[in-house]
Amino acid sequence: MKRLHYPLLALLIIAIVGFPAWYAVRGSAAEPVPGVGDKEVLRSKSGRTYVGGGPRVGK
Amino acid sequence: MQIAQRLNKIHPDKLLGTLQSHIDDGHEQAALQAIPDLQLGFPQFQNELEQIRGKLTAKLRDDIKVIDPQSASVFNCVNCGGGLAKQCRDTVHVICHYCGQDAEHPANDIQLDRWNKALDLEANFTIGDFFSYQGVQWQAVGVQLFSGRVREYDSEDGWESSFSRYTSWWMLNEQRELAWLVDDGSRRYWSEKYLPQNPSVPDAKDRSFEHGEWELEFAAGEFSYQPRYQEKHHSAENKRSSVLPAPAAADGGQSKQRYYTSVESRLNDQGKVSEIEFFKSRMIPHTEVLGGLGQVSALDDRKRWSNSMRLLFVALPLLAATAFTLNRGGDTSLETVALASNDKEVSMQEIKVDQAGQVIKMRGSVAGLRDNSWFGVDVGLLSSDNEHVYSKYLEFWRESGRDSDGPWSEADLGSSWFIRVDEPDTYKVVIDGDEQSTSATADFRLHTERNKTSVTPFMLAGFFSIFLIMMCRSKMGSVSAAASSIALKLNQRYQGGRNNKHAS
Repeated sequence: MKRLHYPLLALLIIAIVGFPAWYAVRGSAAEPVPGVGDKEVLRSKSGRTYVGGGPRVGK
Repeated sequence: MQIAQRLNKIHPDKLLGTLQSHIDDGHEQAALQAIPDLQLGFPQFQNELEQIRGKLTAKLRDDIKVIDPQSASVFNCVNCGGGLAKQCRDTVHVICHYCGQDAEHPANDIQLDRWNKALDLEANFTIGDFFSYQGVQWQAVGVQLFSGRVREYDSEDGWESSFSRYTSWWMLNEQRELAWLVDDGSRRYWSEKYLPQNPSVPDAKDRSFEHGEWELEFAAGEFSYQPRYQEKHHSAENKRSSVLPAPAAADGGQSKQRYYTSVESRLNDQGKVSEIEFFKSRMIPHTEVLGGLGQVSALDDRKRWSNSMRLLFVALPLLAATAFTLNRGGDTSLETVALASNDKEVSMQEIKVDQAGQVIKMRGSVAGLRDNSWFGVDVGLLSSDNEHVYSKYLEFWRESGRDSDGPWSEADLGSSWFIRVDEPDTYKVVIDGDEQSTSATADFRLHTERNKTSVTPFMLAGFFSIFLIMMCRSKMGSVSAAASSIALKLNQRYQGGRNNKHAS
């Protein structure tokens, strides 16, 4: 286990720095704006639903 | 290894076999130490145990380590036969660390009974072990355990008293000089005798000293006097350190170091001071203790956790740099409209998105909202084909009132969020007022900015790094503290059916 200490630590540091960066670049924390024609039903943070690419529903 | 305690509860048929297996496993010293107790508990095996003791004594005597073979005398305890060494020129009394009795005088001759506890001979540090201090090799030749109360003056609370306990190892070097290695449970100190320029015993009410009243709980090894169970000692340690000459280093160089000075008085049976000695003490850092004990593995462990801590510190600026880079900002737009609650499809700024996945920070806020009212706004995006592709409802409010603390006011007049646009296009922001709003109008302002992202994941990662750093620090401390502890470890002796008095 002692031999794996530094490799595991390096992986941990890469994960600590890399995960938030990947999360931010991917825009996972942002609300998606789907493209036209996308029928995915989405729900905003306020709880209101809307359908991408079509008339708004549920309001 | 508390062999005596374990074996005294065993079935007699299994005693000798189990004892032999302990010896075969390398616990020879602990086995020899257990035999006097076993002879008391199992008198029917007196002869067999005596034979085992004879073999062990002969074997262990060959393994006795001494710091100076020229001046050391190796002998067998007259009571249990355990091999012992007498090395210090001032030694007048040797307490056997196997049987706890006077090693040079038969117990029956001088009515000296055993100390009621047994020194753990397989502990981290014990009698006969070596310690390297500032390049000089020292050997533990005796040990004492004191407990008592320490009084200290505090400017806020006055005199405060607390229970304390410390182990004092009597250390001898090749020049047959004596020093003391002290463990107070959390720190280690190196203590030497010295003669102050104006020797005096401080008054018991002197606030610049920490006053201790101690009782001797245990002693083993060789001493320049005859320790008595519960003998009383008084100590007074100066709370301020002084710079004093350090002992000559191995290379012959002379230096000065910061020491805490103290004076210790030993009391006789009548409570009168029988001896006064002056000491200078220096705290030894964990790493120095580990080095002195030759704990290479513990030093490596400590270094590994220390390096881990430093490397994790690197993650913090990396996180900050990454968060800053991803939040460098870009094109911004700002537009304000005067909105009525029944307004629909009011156009605001356009947002041009060149690449899929673009993240944009949005901030909506209102001004001109009167007290105790709210205003709802629906923010939407229209694609270039005038299709609604996104909608978000925002609600702003302002409230005020008066309670027992006086007037109060609260408001939520702004909201920020991020959107990720998955399809490149030119989008137009359109807003609707909420007809239900209790405020008829408000000035709505929308601010957008590219190349912005939430810093929350970076902050969480930073907190996690700090948590790991604290864990590494804690681990480093526990590794150091455990491996550098030289506090005395004692095992109970078997006392069944025997009138076991303390040393007198």
